Amino acid sequence: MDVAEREDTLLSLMRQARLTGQGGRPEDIAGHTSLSVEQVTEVLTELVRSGEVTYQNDGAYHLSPSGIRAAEAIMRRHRVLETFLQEMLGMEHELAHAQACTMEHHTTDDTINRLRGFLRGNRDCPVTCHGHVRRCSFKSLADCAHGDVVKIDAIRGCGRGGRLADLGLIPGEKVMVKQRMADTLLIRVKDCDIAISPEIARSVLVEVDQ
Amino acid sequence: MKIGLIGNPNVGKSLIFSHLTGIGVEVSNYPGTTVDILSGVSCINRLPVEIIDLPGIYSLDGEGDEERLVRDMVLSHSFDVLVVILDAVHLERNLYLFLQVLEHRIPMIVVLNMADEAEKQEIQIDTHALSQITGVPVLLTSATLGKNIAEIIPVATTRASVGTYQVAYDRHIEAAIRTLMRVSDSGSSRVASLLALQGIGTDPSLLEAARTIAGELEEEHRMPVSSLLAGNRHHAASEIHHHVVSKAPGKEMRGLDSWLLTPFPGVLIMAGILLSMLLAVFFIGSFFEELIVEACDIWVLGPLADTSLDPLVYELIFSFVIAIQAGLGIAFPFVFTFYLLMSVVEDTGYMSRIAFLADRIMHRFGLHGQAIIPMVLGLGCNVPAIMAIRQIGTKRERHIAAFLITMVPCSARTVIIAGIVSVFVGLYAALSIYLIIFSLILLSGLFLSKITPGTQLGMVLEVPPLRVPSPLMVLTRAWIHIREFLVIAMPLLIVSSIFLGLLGFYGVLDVIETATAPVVQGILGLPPFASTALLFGVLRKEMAFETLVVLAGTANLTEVMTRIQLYIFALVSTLFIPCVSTIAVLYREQGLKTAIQISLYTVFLGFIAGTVVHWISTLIPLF
Repeated sequence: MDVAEREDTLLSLMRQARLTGQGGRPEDIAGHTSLSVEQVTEVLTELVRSGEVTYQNDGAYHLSPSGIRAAEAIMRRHRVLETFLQEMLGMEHELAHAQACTMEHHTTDDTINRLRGFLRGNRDCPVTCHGHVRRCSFKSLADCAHGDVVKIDAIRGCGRGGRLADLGLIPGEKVMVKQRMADTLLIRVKDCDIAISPEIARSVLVEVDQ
Repeated sequence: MKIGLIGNPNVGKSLIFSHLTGIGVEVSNYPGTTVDILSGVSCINRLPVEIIDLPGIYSLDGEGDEERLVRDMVLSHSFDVLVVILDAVHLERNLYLFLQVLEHRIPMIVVLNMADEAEKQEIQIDTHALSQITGVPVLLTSATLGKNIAEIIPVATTRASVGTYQVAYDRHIEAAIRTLMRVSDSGSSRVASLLALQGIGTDPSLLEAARTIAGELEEEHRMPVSSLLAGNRHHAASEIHHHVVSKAPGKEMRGLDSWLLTPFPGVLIMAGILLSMLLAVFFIGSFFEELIVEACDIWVLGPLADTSLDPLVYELIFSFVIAIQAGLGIAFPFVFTFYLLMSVVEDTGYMSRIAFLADRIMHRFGLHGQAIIPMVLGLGCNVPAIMAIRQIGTKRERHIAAFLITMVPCSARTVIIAGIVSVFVGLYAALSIYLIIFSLILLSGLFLSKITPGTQLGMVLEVPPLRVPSPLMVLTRAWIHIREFLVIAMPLLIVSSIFLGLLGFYGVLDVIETATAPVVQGILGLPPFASTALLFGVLRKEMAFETLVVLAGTANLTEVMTRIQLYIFALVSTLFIPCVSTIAVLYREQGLKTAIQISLYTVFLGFIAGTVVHWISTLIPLF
């Protein structure tokens, strides 16, 4: 049995249960998916055998607790993929949804977890993931040591953003840390030396120059 | 004809200005700000040319006092020609401002200053190419050597041009500019549209339209419009820089900075420099003060006493002369010496290094490195120092800085310490007063940073390369500083001196003495007439000393007071309540509440310190 058919059937049952509060008949499910009634019945029989679905005498199939868990996992995969396609790759909602519908069945949990981390821009990404260093290695100027050469990634907050931009601290610009006195930094930007306080340094996010 | 000099800070702009105008510079404050604008007149072909030195700025779009002032002046077409002064060594960063100035389409020329320094660092600049690209005449000068300076005015008057270069912005921004230029009926200029996108301007319909578009742009690009513009301009600047400048690679000159900017020995060097400055002012000041006061006594007061005038007229003239004598005795020996040394420190570029070194410790007081600059200036006179607080960050920072600066011993208080304690008690005793004051400043800072509400913004300060100070610049700067002192302090000094004279003449002083005697005598252990002296110290700090001499009837104070009494008197009068000018400027800059708080706090501090010393002296003999 095809994974996609199996998971789509589970999702349809879930949707049915949420909409009507009742189980689904093979005819209803065939209407939601691109399967024929015979195919759906075959898949459902298989699912009853593996314990995710129960058949009751009213002629409808219901999700068992383990079936509900499985369906929820698929929905979560769908959401993560759809968000990624839409927000990060800029796809239209309809297209992103359709793509996510086919991708959700073949994406491993590990990939989904990493993607989710990526979307959150989180810091606890494993050091070994080179694929998206740009988002992962969020580090601020305040974390840089004497002599480091780094590239500005972004500037947080708006307080002194204007002044920083006028002095040449803009995303993409290379900065050298010339001197560090406690947490106060002397940096070199565009051949000029600038002294900045720790709180300002913390607002300048950098990526490590490799 | 009016010519404006515009450029980043530390590009030698002021030195060029001094070369162009010579002596006879006029300093004026722009209404509503404390930003100094210098103007002077130069002659070309027998026609006078007015030259205006604008404050150094990094951008024409900023929100600082100086940036706003320069932008307003440029927008209102106050100048016939702009001379844009750029630092040839740091051309790329300097081009950023130039590109902004170009957008205003005013006839201008470019002056690439510091040519000698660029040559030393093997930076070659193709001025012809720069002129070709931008459509503006370019002059290569060196203000320190005086090279090509004489060319500036002739070129500015004959060849200035509005330029042809235009920054190519992001296509969304260009589209926004096109839209905005069609908004108002008469059509607005490109620069007005650009400023409107950043919320700057006066045309309400243009601003309204710009606000909507700016919102969309920010949504789209996920960053403020000003950052987008800055990015585009920096990109254009770097492109031009690439075409125009060729630099021998790998020449990094660090020199002294590797010593000056490290915790060790940098901090020690800083402490040494500041301490030796203080001591120099102390000794040089006392020496010349004595000369001036003595000369005044012999040549003016002596003959005056011999004349037989009506007592009231005599009292008035006498008070007036005393005021002049006191003013000169402080202004020139102490204040001028201090500001002369200070100007040397400023002109070398060491001041911003002090700010870097002090940043950490200043954070303890809820301030940041830049706040050390007004505090050091306060050693000369508190008034300009308090006016300089505007430059630093948030309300919280200004509040704390105002408290601390008011406590910094200014020149007038140095006169008291030098004139009373150093002369009659001893040098170490005099230094111990400084020690007490600075410890109290530190403690107050710690305390205030705990209780003052508000947020803290850090420092962003350019650290220019170290330079050998130019004597011309040092004198000009010192003159500007001392001018502030003379204009604000001298008139007040004369008025209060005459006031004091009249009070003495009509016997009011005796009444005051009797009223305050219990406090002064009982708690501080001072003779009753000291209260009048303390009270008049409020008018001008050093008057506390002079009044004491007048009231004691002898210049040899040890005849009427003990040494510990003199010590307590000096300590209390230096600490308690700022002088009238300081209170006035506090009120103007920080509001009535802060002015009252600071006055009460210092009175409290002064009496506590005096009481404690008096109490200790009753237990153990101090001097």
